Amino acid sequence: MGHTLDVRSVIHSFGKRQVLSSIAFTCRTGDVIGIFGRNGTGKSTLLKILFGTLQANESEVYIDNELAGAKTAINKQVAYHHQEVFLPKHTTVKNLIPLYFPNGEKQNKLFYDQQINKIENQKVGALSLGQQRYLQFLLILHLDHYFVLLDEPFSMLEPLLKELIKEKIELHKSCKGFIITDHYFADVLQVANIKKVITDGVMKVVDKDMDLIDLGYLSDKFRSRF
Amino acid sequence: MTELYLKYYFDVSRYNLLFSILVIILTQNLLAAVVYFGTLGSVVSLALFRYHQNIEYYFYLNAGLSKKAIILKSFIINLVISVILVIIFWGIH
Repeated sequence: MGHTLDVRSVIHSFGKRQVLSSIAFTCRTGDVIGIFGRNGTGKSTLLKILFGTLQANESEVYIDNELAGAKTAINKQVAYHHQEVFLPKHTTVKNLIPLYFPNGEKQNKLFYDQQINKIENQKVGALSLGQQRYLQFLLILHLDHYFVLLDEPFSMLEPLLKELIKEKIELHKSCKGFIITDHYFADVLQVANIKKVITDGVMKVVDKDMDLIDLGYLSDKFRSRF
Repeated sequence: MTELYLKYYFDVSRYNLLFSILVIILTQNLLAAVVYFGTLGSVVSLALFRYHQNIEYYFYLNAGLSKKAIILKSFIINLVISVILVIIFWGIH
């Protein structure tokens, strides 16, 4: 069954500076929405509001036509991959995975992952930053939540892990909706089927990749790349 | 879910246990350490966890455990443990 995350209105300010002035969009199961925006335009702020860890000045967010409020995380509807690693560092990978997935089937999916298999006896804190971020991504991805918010999922990752993440998003989008924000725009462009830019607090639709230049996210020198 | 919560509780309680042992050493008074564990110790350990591992609350929240709920639960558990130990302590003496 498909689900709908309907962001009808989000308005938020930090002090006198209005970061998000009129944000509205819909994410459905199967959507991979790439949100672009320069530093400080409110991309991470928007994700935190949708996850419920930041209270917006005004917010009207519906999940399957029910007002979501600030409990999307507690209700296990929205999962959030923070740009920093939030995994407990002193736990081994082998002990960490069952904390999220007590049943065998889900555990196996993670333990059989080639990248996880070779690090399962290591403590999370002993892994490279890229490995930690990949593990965090996998844990979030395999939760039963309808929507996954990915804040900088490609940052600090080697090319191989980036490709694996893209493959897994492609594989899971039949049962989840994804909202991604990352400055590695080429990776986001590859995986996103809906693209948007936040500029001056407003979300604008990106019809073609070239719009990223016209909307002020990329400089003119990228024009030759598209 | 219980195992996940226990992971949080034991992580937070490490700080509390350490300082409670310190209270025993400094005061030579077991009762003071028990009272500390259930009251100020909870506050100090939660503050230390917040300072050093605040980002980990996202780990628990993704699994449906809210920050407010797990903090409150830990405080109550420590208080209950402390009260039980005080009662036992008074019973012995």
